[in-house]
Amino acid sequence: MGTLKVKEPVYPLLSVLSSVTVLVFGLVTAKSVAASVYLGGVWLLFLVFGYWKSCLAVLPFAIVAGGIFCGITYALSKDATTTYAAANRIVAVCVAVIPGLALEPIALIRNLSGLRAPRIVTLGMMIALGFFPLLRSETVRIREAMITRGAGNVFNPRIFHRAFLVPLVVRLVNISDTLALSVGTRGFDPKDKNYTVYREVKFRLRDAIFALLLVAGSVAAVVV
Amino acid sequence: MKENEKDNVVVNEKEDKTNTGTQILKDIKDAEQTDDRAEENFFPEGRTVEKCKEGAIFQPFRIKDIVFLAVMAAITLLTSSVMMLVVPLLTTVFGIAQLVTGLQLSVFPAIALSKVRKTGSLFLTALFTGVIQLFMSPAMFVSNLVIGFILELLVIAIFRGYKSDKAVFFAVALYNPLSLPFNYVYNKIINEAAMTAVAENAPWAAVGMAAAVCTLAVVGTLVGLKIAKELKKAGVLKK
Amino acid sequence: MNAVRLSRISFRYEESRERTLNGADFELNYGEIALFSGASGSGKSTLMSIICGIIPHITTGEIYGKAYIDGEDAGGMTMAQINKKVGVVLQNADAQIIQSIVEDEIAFGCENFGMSREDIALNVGRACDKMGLSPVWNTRTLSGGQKQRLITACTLATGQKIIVLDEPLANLDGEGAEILAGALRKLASKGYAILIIEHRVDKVAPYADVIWHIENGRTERVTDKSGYVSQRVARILDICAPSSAGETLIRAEKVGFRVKDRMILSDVDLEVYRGERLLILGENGCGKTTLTRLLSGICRPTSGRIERFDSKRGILGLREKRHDIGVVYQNPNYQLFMPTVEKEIAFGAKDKAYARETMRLFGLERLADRHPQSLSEGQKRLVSVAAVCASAPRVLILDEPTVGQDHENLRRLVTLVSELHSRTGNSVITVTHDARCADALCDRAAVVAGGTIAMTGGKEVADNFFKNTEKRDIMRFYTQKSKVKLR
Repeated sequence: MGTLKVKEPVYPLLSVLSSVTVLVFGLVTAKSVAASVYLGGVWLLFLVFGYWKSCLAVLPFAIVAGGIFCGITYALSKDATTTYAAANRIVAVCVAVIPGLALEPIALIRNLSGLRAPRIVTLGMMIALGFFPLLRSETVRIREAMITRGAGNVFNPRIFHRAFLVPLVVRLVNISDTLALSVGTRGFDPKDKNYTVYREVKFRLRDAIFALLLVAGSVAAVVV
Repeated sequence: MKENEKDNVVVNEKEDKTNTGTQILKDIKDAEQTDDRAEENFFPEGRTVEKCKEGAIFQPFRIKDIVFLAVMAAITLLTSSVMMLVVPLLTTVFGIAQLVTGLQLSVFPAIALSKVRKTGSLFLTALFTGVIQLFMSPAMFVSNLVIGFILELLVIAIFRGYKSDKAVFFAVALYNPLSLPFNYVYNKIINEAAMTAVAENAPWAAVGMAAAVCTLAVVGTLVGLKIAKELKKAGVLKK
Repeated sequence: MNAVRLSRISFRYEESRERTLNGADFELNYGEIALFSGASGSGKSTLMSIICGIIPHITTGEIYGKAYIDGEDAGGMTMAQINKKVGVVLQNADAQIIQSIVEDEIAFGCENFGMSREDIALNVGRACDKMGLSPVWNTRTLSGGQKQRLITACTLATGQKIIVLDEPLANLDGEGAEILAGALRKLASKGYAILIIEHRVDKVAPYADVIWHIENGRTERVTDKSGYVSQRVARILDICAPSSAGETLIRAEKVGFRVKDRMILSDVDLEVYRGERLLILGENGCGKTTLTRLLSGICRPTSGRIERFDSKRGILGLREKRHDIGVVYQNPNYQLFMPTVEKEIAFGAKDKAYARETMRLFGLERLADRHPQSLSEGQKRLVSVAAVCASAPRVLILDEPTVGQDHENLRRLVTLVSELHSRTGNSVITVTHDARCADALCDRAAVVAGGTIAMTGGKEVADNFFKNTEKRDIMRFYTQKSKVKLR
């Protein structure tokens, strides 16, 4: 995700709303040609606002997943309109994820912190989003440990339960205990309102322009 | 024993009410092990660590509760990433998303709720797991939050919180299957996708998928509760 | 005024029957580096938790006595108030990093303490300088040593005058240890109070002004520093007869291992012979563990090849007779999964009678019905070694068996491994950077440095390696001390 980062991302909460908007309007108008124009326009909008890496990254997925999805839909419905709508739906999903791919979790969390969202929520989100790489490496190590103990077959439910799930949960408990102590000793207090947001996230003119263009496009897609 | 000794007994979750003979003998032994001088109170008079009221439906979340729920949400999300493999089928095959995430969305939440037995735990887990879904599938995010909220209300009404394993089982086993009707309605209203068509044209397939999702949810919850019970007994999964 | 003063502190964990601390006293002064040491389970971490406010604010139990932090009664302080005065560097840096960028991670604590944005920026910059980090680095791609330095930087940035470090050397390489030692000495000279909790006393003692020892929940200030250190680094004697090299079991030829752009090992040539005890030495982060993962077949080399041999079948396939190599992890928690110790040891054993015999040899019969996860760390280590040995591997690989082990536990473990080696004639590969067990587990030594095998030889290679390491530690200490004086 880091490689798809944008220099000047859109206001994080607006990014989230833009995803929701694209998805909802894309799906609602899926059967019409306007949907294709709308989705293409939004894709271009993201491109212009600096999201070119994410815009390009979703293309291969859109083509492959769209192909499979359309194939299945046509095989089931034998109807070109339904298949066309299916293609628009998959494109809508792909365009909707563009801001998410480029958004640094910390930006969203700072945005929420700046708006004084409950600290337990922002902390939880930060951990849920930031612990992927560590947990991935933990699962790999446990898989390796299973092999060293002669319990390599994960498709055996008993072995999966005992040799994978049990050590995994033990490690998760250890990790969360350490993290809780670390967060606590680093001064995190859910009740304390006197905290700073190091990098303030501001709503700028370019965000307003982005929002206006997106809303205008969405309304136009429905009206047309 | 000193008069105000009880101030030093820091019990966050459960107050020890059993001041039995064994306890007194142990206290005497402890006193002998130290030295002759009386032990000083750690806390100045009138001060102690904040205690949670045992039996209260609403209890405040501590840092370690939030961290544990978030770590469990992270592992749920990580293991649910297999859903990426079935993205093209999501709006065609009824219940496919719930089927491939059935175990993950029951084993880990069951363990999470077995440790953090506080009202709101399931809703917070749903919120934390939903952050990534916001971009991929806002409908799923909203459905998870709504289902989480409904289940919290039901657990309060029926069980008065997650104190018993029955309450945990009830909430977790229903969490994933309840998203099936939600997704169906969503697809019917907004998506007009093939999924509803398939579900309507081949109702037995849809029923089969729903049955499979429910079975997985029950099995996953039982497995999660079993692991939690075992690790609690071993002293790993403390409150 | 003392920075920290504990007076007759006693503590019993909620789930425990025994007291971990029993009338412990302790003092730490400003401008002083204190080393706190003791056997595993003696109460080091408990005492640290009280100083940091973890006890009683996060971990609960029964507590008596008085604790004063910067002259203030800790019993009347909230955790946040304590942590504004005491900065803590905990173990397991990996599990503590929540942000994706170094700058954000360091800023997290400062944000919690409500510092102004300008102060945060200044403190982040200073902490990065002190710990040799760049604020823009991605936290997920840091090495183990860099992560440890990052966690230390997080504490330095929040600016407390009392700093507590729990086993800070655990993941640091030579350079990392040097950076940390330099930073700590500078801070002490500026009046900071520094407490280091470490069981590897030989590594920290050169930096420490005072040493405290803890035993059976009671503390004492050590007066004879050198006597104390030499007692704890006494080498364990070799009880095995020297073995002659047998046939080749594993051969590594021009082996390399790369993760993305990072080359971890290259051009490694190494053979493992039947019945030998091979010691793999090297600084933290040099690739020792990666080498054993390659030798055991857990992962494949990115270049070169590794072959395993069997006297009957010749060259073995990748998955063939995998159980012939038993690997004991640094952290036993990954390898323990059965509901009782007895079942744990019997799992994977071809001969159940041999498994029972192994359990008896390791003295684990009295724990047979206990859940492995309910045991102490030292006991877990013994169970994990016993469980791997019970499957009678021809090659036993021990990855850092000394981690978290006090002298007594280590001596017991080494004796057991040696006894098994004498009985079965297995090959034992030990990865370590601990001099205490080197002699007892070595027929041949290989030193990993610069991503390859820099040297191989007999016990003398291990001796020289540790002598040089000690010299480097002492040199490092005096260099840092003189630099501080010059300033």
